Amino acid sequence: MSPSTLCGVNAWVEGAVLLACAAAALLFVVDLVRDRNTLDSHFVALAVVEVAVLVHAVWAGVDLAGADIDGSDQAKVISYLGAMAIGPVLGAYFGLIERSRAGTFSMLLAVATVAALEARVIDIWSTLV
Amino acid sequence: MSRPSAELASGWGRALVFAYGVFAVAATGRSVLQIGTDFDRAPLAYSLSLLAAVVYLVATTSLLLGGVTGWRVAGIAVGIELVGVLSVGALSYVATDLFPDRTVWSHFGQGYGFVPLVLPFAGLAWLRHTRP
Repeated sequence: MSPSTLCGVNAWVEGAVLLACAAAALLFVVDLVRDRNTLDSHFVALAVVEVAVLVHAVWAGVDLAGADIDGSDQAKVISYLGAMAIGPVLGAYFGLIERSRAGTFSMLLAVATVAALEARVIDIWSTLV
Repeated sequence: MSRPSAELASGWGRALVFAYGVFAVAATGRSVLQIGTDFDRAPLAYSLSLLAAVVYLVATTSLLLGGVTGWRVAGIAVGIELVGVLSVGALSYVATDLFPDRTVWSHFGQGYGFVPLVLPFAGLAWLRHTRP
């Protein structure tokens, strides 16, 4: 299986993760500016980000398994994808234990972290194909 | 008198713990990878990456533990972090030969969106707010 063939498909998944992060971040910023505490909609937004990240992780995992890529590069991508999957969960946990604006801000930090990690994965991925 | 044990990791302190936790994991991963794979390439830079990782881990833990001791240890860690990011940031521009590869604090944390530069100021402001 050629990694370059699947990389074109992966670009859509990568875009979906970044779009989900941007939409969630926008929601959090608007509610922070409006002085609102953590709402259920914030957890839904984090769940959407998590689903996008998991789809990306599975997709990239299948890609990597079939590709002839150095083991250390594989480990690097997998560690980034793992960290991305943990981000929204931690954000939700912090939002649950701190149902105030600080909790919403923690969620904002979580999606910003996921977006930064996604950008790094895209960067690493481009060197592999 | 405020109660640092109750306040250090609550409210906005919890967001600070989250940010420090993220950087503790990021810096630890980076330093372990750099030191484990190619230490001879940039020993100073990679050692500073490890120092940054330790500082972030200590800051996160002490903020979580709270109490007067936690507040003091967090203060020392955040102080070292501030000195580190300012000195390494300046040196990475002035003495480029010292840093063949980047650290978390290189170019004032440019590789991390300058968050490493903002974080110690936020930490010191929070510690001042929760001063015992």
